[in-house]
Amino acid sequence: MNILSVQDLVVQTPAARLVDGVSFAVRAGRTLGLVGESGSGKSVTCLSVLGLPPRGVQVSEGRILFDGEDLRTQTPAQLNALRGREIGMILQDPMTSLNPLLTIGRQITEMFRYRDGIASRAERRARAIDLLRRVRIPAPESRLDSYPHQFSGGMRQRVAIAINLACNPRLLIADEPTTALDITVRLQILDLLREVQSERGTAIVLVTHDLHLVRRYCDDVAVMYAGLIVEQGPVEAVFARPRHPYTKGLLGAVPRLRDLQHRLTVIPGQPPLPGSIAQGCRFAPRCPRAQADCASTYPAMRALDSQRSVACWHPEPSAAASDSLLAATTS
Amino acid sequence: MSALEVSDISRAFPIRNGLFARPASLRAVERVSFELPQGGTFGLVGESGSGKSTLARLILGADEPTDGEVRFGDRVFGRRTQDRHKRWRQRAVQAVLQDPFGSLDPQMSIGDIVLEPLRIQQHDFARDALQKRLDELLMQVGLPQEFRHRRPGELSGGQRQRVAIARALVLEPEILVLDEPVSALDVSIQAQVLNLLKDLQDALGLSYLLISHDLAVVAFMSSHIGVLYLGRFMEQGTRDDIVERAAHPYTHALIAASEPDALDVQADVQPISGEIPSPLAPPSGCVFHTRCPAARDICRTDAPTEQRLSETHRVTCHFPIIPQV
Amino acid sequence: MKARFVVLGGVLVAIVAASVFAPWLSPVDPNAIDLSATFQSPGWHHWFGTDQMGRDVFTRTLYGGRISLSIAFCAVLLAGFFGAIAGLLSAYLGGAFDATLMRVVDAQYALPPVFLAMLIVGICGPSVTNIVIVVTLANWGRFARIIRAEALSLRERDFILIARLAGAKPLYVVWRHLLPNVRNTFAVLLTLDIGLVIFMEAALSFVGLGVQPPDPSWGGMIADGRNYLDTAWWLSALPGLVLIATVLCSNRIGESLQRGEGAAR
Repeated sequence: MNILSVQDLVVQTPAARLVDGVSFAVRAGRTLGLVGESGSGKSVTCLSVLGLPPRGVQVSEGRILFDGEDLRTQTPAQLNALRGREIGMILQDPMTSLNPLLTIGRQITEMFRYRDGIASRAERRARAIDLLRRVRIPAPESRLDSYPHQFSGGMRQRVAIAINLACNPRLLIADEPTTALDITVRLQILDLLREVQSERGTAIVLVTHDLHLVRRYCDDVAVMYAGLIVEQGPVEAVFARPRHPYTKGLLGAVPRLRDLQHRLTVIPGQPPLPGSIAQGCRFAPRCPRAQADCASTYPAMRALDSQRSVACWHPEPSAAASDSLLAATTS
Repeated sequence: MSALEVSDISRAFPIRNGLFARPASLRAVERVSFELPQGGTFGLVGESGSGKSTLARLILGADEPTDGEVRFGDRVFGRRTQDRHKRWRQRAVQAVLQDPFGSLDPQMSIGDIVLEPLRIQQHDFARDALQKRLDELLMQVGLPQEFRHRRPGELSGGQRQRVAIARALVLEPEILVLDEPVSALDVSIQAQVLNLLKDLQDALGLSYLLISHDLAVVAFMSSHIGVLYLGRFMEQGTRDDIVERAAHPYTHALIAASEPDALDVQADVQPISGEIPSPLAPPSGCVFHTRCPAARDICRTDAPTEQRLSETHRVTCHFPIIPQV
Repeated sequence: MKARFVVLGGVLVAIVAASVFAPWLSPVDPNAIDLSATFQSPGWHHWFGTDQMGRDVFTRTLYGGRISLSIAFCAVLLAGFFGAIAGLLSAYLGGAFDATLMRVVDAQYALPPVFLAMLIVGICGPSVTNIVIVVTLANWGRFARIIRAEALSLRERDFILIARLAGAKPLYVVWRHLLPNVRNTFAVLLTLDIGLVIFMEAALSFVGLGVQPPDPSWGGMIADGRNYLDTAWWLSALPGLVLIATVLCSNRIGESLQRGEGAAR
């Protein structure tokens, strides 16, 4: 049962198409990793799904089905209500989702008061403390009266998760939630999200550029390049035998701790600028496997099997062992 | 023969908490010692508050240590340093810094940016000699000749870092301090720049001091690694010492965090809990004890002294993890 | 967006040009008294009408513009130049110099221009030079503060650090790196300041501390016309409109420049 199903999404500015026909789906209790580099359109996709595209950016085509209902047909008020309850979001910089002028306690209890109509102040506080404890913030009773700037980055993300938890969302969109945090704190936050997921069956879309995190925390992965998805499927399968040359190149470009490389795989050149309209495959100029047909016609997504699909005229052979993350970490 | 030798270096910042409070001290770097072998790469890995950036500035000469000394060959830099040594360092030790947007003057052309250190230090260069040097450098870092007229605003992050590298090479330095040189770049661009740095090191015989929070990047580039936490070394050794035979619990935590997908395979390693304490209030005894899964009473009270596990491998821990052979 | 810029620029240029070419546009003596033609309402002979002494208001507006605008430009350039240098030095030298200078700027902000004008005019007598001095003194602090702030944030940037590590001297850093990077802000400040200064001079002339009669100035003309607002509205209203138009246009241009600069970054 797909909690979220995005179909042929096109997001653009007057000058450029930032997302050019993207489709993916997430089921309850599963995590989809949306992977890509800058300019791939992964963050814009997420923000558009949430109904919060940046200024000047608009969703022009496609359907965003949340539990069967197209979000594009909802009024702003309906979307607001959905975002408060059914759909949660965790962004990279928690300072922007927390009001710096209000104490944490105030921000959490506010919701209990206005949304749930709980009149008793004591009860609201008790619930807030419970939430903070749930996200493992030490000494929650005393932290209720602290301001966001008095918390460290990791703590702020926990608070952001706590606020989301209070809503009990069916879908959680996390856009680079740990990129700004110290490495040793990242896993704690993501483990917390995973716990929440297994308790409540939340569907999660995790946007990140960190392939290690994708492999540990995601069930499925969609790789984006220049506004399009070039490959998707279950994480293990895609990482073990990537079929799209970009995915393969990306996996080889990540330095590994074990099985150290002498040189990293290099994808020559740079990603195209948004708005530069290419005829054929957008990756062709940089692709080691490119041939004549790649530059002339765009390869639509093709199913490789029941779970995987790839957008490539000449995908990597299926049998080849891959110079990838997986090879290094299973021994 | 070391390119760089750091001995017991410390840097404390005086902090005043208001007019009437007692002056406190932020010990950003506390008695750090290590050696960078000639032609090799020493990788300093640490998270926020580890003091790695302060250490970089001390070595570059942007800051003075409160204690200890930095030695380049037989040139000693301590609290008082000879001027000729300083002039040497201005040429021989160069930096590539983290922010590709802030490290280039947006008003200058790429050509002027790359040549600037040369112009600052020497005034008697002929125009075509400068031009030749510029062309040579641009080629070495893989940028097209015509970029010399462009402005930083027209370049991508990866291209700007290449410009920063070219600039760092113009004075023909011996040592490069690389402070998070690829952290702000995309994965595929990161790979290009790291490969470039490796190639340049082989071609020019440079010694690198690499600073990063990313252990995998450090492991890829370095022959020797030092693990910093709250301004102190927890462990240091050759790359294999650290990656294959890590003895300190913090190093294990970093390894686990850098390759979390390997955790499922190695069930005995758990991600650590807690947050990094503020450098203003470091824990007593061993500074890592608040987060250490193996901490015991002595860890809370006594700071451990450094132990030698081998010729190259040193660890600062009461109960280092030594694999049973 | 560009069209608006052109229109505003056009209006401003027209006003400035009209003032510059005043003698050719209206070959009448602005101070010529004609008691037989007092209080004529705007019409064919006198486009802006005449005042209580029969002087042609249009001509006086043009000549008044000459004086007001030249005072404004001089004052803005002087204030900008000295203020910017002070700000740059303050940012780069820091320490006691910076602290002292900033207190002086605070003092300048605290002193209303009118008091300063009274002081200087009281001691040195009224003259165009003295007005320029007053307006400059009342205005340089803005430049100093804003340029200083910009320079302070620039000072922390890595490219400055790299230059210093290579051995660059402070003066080199200020000249080669700080100055070019504050150029844009400076230009925008200058444009925004013109409107302010024109208004300041008009205010001073309005209270009698600025340009002295019989020389025309916009502020002075508005003041003179106060008593006749219900009978001869054109005496204050028309020069007033020209004043407003000038100030508005230069402010809007300054704002678009500011936004344009913002986009370039």
